[in-house]
Amino acid sequence: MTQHLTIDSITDYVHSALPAGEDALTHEHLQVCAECRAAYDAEVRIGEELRRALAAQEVDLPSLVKARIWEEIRAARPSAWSSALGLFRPAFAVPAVVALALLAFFAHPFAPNASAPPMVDAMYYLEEHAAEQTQTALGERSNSAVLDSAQTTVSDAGPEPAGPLGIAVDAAPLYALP
Amino acid sequence: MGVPRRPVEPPTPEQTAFLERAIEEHGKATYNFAYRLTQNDADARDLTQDAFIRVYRAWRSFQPGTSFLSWIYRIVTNLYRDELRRRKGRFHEEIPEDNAPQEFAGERPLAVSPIEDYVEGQLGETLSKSLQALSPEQRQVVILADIEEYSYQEIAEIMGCSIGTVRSRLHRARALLRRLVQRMQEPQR
Repeated sequence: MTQHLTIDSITDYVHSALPAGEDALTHEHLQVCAECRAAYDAEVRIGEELRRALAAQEVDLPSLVKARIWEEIRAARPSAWSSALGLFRPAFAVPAVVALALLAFFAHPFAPNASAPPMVDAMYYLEEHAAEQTQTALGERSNSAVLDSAQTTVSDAGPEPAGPLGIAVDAAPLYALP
Repeated sequence: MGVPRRPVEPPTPEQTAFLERAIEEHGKATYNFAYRLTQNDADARDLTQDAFIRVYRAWRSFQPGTSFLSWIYRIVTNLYRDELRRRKGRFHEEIPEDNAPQEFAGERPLAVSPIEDYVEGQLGETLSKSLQALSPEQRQVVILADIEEYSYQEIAEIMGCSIGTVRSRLHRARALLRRLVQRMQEPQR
């Protein structure tokens, strides 16, 4: 490189902002050109003097500024009421409603998996069915075997309708079956 | 009509701890950066306060592992630019985006002699005074490049402009500084 460096390229060189190839050429030139070297030294000195002078002027963050920052933040904090309203935002409200719905569903006594599900004993069902058949002997669903047995028992036991095992049953069903 | 503010969310202990640590570790640097930009104490205090309140509100947007100072300097720079716009009514963009070489009318662009003539200590004082004569954008670039020693790329990210703009602003600022130093020295001769 025979030409002198421009001051801009020296500035970029000082700030390590030249592309690698140009940086190497500039470095090489500065080794042999006294005039450009002097310009480079001057640029470096501007930066050094600025840093030194401004470092000497540095001060701590005034405590009043710190106090004002916290004061401003406290003033911007939401009230208890607005905090409570914040709970109704979708991010909180939707999961809460879902959780409540699930809790209500599973805790309800008629839930499918409740602790004591209602069961109907098969024998009781037959007895009940027989009693019904007794009352509605002409019904379409009459079962002749059960009906016969029931009629036999009724005639033996008197006016009280009874099941096939001789247990007296009320005419009205005790349990509404689906 | 401004943009409606987001509702204030309840603070968390982590958020408060984040701000405490930020003020403790970077409060001084932030305040001094603001002071160098604004060149006056009252504005520097306001700028620092506003910057840390922004930090508090936007603490989740800080990416761990990145430079906190770069982040808060960007906040300070943006706030300062907004303030200048507010005060001036509009923001004057005087510096072109290109990176054209500087013109020096007839003179060899090497500022050697005025600087060499300064005795130790005088130059720094003169330069720090000369900073006030630069435009706010030029001053920002000089502070970030020469005082904080950021790369052009980092300065571009902090200032929200291109590397070419950073480069041209720094070249012009440096040329002005050299001229101002020379001019300040002349009456002393």
